[in-house]
Amino acid sequence: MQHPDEGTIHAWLDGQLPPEEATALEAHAAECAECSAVIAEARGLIAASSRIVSALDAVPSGVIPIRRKATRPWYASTQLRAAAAVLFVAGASMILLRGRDMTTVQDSATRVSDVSTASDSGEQQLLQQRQAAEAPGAARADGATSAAPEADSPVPPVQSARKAAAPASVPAAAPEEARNETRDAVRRAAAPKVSIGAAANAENDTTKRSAFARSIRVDPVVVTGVAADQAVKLEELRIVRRDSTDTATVTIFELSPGVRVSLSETAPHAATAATVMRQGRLRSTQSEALAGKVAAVPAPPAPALAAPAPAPIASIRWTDSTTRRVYILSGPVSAERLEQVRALIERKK
Amino acid sequence: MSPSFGKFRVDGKSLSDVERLFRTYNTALVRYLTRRLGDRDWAEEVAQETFVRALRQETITNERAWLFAVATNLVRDEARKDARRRRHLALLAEEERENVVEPESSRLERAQEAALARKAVDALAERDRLALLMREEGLDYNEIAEALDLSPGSVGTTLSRARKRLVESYEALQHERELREKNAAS
Repeated sequence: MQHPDEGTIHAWLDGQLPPEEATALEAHAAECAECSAVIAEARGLIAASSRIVSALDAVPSGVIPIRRKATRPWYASTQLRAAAAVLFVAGASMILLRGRDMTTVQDSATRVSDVSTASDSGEQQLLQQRQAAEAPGAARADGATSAAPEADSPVPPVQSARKAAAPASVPAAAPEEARNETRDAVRRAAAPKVSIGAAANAENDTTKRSAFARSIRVDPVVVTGVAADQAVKLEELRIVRRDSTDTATVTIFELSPGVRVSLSETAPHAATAATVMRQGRLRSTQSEALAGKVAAVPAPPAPALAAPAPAPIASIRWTDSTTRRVYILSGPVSAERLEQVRALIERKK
Repeated sequence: MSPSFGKFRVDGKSLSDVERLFRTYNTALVRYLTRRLGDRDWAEEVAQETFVRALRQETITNERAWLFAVATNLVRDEARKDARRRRHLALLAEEERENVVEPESSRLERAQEAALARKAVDALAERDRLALLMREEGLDYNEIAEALDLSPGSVGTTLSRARKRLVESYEALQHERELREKNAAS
C-alpha cells in the first residue's frame, strides 16, 4: 500500500477497514514517518471533533447571572463581629480588672471618655471632610447614627472604648442600637468628666439590662496610641461598599479595622463634568475637588466640644493609560500606604 | 403481511415491535437530532414522527440506518421550511449567551462552549455534518452510506473533511472570543 489517503486513514481509525487492508496500512505506517504523522493528526482530529460534538449536549439555558455581591453568612457581618469582640474584651477585662483600684481605672476611663466625646464631634468634622473628599457617596448624609463603623476615627482604640461603654454585654442588643445608646449616653453627660460606668447606669431602664452590665465601671480598652497607619503589609483589599452612577464608581476598602480608604473611578469624559449624586448626597464638581478639599457641607449640628485635629487625609490620583479612567484614592493614611493600596488594586484588575 | 405478535397492529409493524425499536434507538436518535437541530423539543418531535413512520414499514433490514435516514429526511423537509429563520434566532440567542462578562460558574462555561460548538457545527456542509453526527452515534460506514445515500467508500473522506473543518472552525471561534475577552478586560 502506498501512502493511504486521509479518508482511508480515518476509516482505519474508525475500525471500518476490512482486515487485510487494515493490516497493510499498519505495516506501512510502521515504516513511514510521514504517514505516521498524518495518522497522529487524524487521531487528534477525531478526538477533538468528538469533544466538540459532545459539547452540543450542554443545556442551552445557561443563564447569565447578574453579578451579585457575594453574600456572607449572617455571623460574618462586620457589626456582629465588632460587637462580639467588644463583648469578649468586656468580659475578659471584667475578670482581669476586678479588684484593682477602681479610681485610677475610672480616671483613665474618664479620660478615654473625654477623647471619646471629643472625637465624637471631631468625628463629625472628619465626616464632613470625608464627605467632601469622597463625594460620590462615601459617607451617609446622616453620619451621626452610622458614623461609628464608617468614619475613620484617628484613634481606633477610642472607638472600641465607646463601643465597650455601651451595655454591649447584652447579646440581644443590636450593635447599632448599642452604639447609638453609647453616643447618647456620652453626649448626655453634662460635664466632660463623666464615668462611663455612670453613663451606662443612667441607661438602666430597659429590662434587658443585666446586673452584669450595670456593674461595668471600667473601660476595658487600653489605649495603645494612634495606629491608623499600620506597618503591617497589606495582603488583600476588603471592599466595604461600592456605589456607582453613570459616570463614576466609588469603592470603599477597609485596610484594617476602622481604617478605610475610598477609591473613586470616573470615566474620562466625566472627569470634569458635574455629577449629581443619588440619595441627596453631595453635588460634586470636578473630580479634582474630590481630592482632599474641604467643602462646606450641611451637617447635623455638632456638639460644642473641642475637637482634636483629625488625621490628615492623603490622596493620590492617577489615570489608567488604556481606559483613560481617572482614579482618586484617598484616606486617613499616608501617601505611601495609598500607593500600596493602589498596587493591590491594579494587581486585582 | 407481517406476523401479528402484538395486540395492536397497523399495516406493517406491530406496536410491540416499534416499542422495541423505540427502546433501543430513541435515546441515540434524539441525541443525534438535538445535536443537529440545537433544539431538544424539536428533536423529540422528529424522533416521534420517525417511529410512527416505522409503524407503517413492513420490513426494515438495517434498522438503525433506516431510522436515522428517515429522521434525517424529516429534518431536511421541515428544515427547508423555516431553516433560515430558526437558525437566525438560534444564533442570536447564542450570541446573547456569549456576550457574558466574567463567567462565574462552570455551568456558564459549558453553555459558552455549547454556543461555540453550535456555531462550528453549523458551519459544516449539511452532508458532512450529518455524517459526523451519525458517526458520533456509532453508526458504521455502511449505515451512514445507506442513510445518506452515499457510496461506502466515500464515507471516510466525508468524515475526514468534516472533522478537520469542524476543529478548524471551533479553534478559530475560540481564538476570536479570547481576543474579544482580552480587549474587554483591558
